[in-house]
Amino acid sequence: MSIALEAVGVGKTFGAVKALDALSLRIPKGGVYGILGPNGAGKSTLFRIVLGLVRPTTGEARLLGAAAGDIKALRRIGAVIETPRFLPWLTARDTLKVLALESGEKSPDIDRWLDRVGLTEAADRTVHGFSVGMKQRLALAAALLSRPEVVILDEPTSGMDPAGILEIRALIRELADRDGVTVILASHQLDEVQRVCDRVAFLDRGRLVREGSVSELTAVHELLRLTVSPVDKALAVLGDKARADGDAVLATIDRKDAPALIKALVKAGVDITEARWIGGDLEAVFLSLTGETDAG
Amino acid sequence: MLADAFAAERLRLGKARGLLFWGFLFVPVVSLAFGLMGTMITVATRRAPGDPGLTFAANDLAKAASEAMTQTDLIPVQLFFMLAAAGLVADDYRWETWRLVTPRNTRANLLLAKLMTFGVGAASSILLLAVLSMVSALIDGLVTGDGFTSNFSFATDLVRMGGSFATSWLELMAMAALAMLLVVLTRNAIPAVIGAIGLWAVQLVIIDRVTKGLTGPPGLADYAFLPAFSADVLRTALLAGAPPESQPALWPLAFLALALWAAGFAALAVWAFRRQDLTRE
Repeated sequence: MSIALEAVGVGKTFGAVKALDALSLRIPKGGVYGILGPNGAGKSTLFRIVLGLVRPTTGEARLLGAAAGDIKALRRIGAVIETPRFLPWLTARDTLKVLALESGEKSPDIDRWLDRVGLTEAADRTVHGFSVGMKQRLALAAALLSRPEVVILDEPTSGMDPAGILEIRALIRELADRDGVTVILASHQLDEVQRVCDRVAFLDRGRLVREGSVSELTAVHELLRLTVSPVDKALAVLGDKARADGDAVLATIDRKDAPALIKALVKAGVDITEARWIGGDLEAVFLSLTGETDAG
Repeated sequence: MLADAFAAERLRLGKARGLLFWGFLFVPVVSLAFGLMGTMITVATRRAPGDPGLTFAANDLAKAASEAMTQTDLIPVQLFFMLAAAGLVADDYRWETWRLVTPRNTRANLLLAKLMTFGVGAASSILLLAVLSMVSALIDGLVTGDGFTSNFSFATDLVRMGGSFATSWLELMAMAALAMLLVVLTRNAIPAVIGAIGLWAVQLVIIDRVTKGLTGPPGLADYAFLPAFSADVLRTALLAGAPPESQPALWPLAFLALALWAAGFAALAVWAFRRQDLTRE
């Protein structure tokens, strides 16, 4: 399996703040890989180290087999780091021209990429008047300009309207599925990550706390919510698999065990008025891993 | 790779109208304006009743060009050039665009491309200063009736003009490299401009003290120690009509000292930039 990005015991401290704490992570080539975590988890610091913007305090990061910051490897990737910023006096087209020249790109297809991110009409307007969403689109075009093998996107849809989010989400999937680009995506929007990513890693306080495919991770965090009466009798039947939640119980069980469990409750004289699966999404995983009350 | 970064910087500067105007065009334009004002004052004064009717020397176009090119030793003139040099680097900190460009080329190339771009801008500005001063002298000669000389001598005028250009350009490059180093260290243009201009102003005071005690030409240690002194020595020799070949030892050494200062500041700037964490530009 070839590796797009690898971190081995990477640590980074800024004064007294430990942004990354001996982080080890391997991101394979192919597909869309999500990196999740609360604010300060170290997502952007990891990206900055990989891109050579920041040097790690300890450990080593590698990009496409080369040391972090290696310019030959960097020219095979595209990246959007944090809120995109541009020189305000340049037009979108000139911005891409300048960036293409910096990369040594001799024949950049600027119009094609402007069209693909929906900026054709704004191509000759200065970036000064761009909304955050338009800057995100321009940053995406800049990242894709040199036909990279790997694209690193840090919150690529922040500031975008719902239609824009859908467009970019479709573009990300298209890049991975049609163009064979490896997309590494950091986002706070768990729903977006779940829809677009194949694998995810959860970071918390600079450490890797969980890694796996989206389907594996979400399956573990499904709960069966049963509205029952009486609750204590239901809890006695379910034992340590369940806990009370008002007039309901939450049971941590596999889907295949659900029919037998419901039969056992009915047999014990428990009335069941509603049964439904809850959780089963990255939000549930995120909350259980980080103890956060929200994803932001 | 350096050529790529240089091409990108040139395009960027070409679109930065404010930086282009204040950094490289303002000084030649103002110099021309002052020249024309001088002509108008001359005309107005001579037409006044009771003018004794003195005779005036014809304008020497080549000398006017050489003198104009040495105006870069004036602190106010240097200030505009340093605004350009510092602005070329500081904009990437101010607008947080290093994160966009540093993954595309090496940091050494990116910074050297900025210095080279400044070099092209400064060279163009100095040449424009020379051309506009000749235009001004030409107009002055025609309007005042003083006329102008066109006895261009390859041996003296070309060497004097070339020497003036090279001295001014090298001095500005040394200053620009220092300003760029200070921008990298402070991530801001203002301290860099103040620092570079301040350091040159301090040198002028030192030069004044050193030259007061000298009876003959300065020794190598005197001018090699101060880049502004090297430039001052060269300019004085060129404008005094003493062609550089009359001081064969001084000529290359002063240039070498200036070039070494420029290279030294540039190397330090690259070293500091390569080691810098770009957490927030």
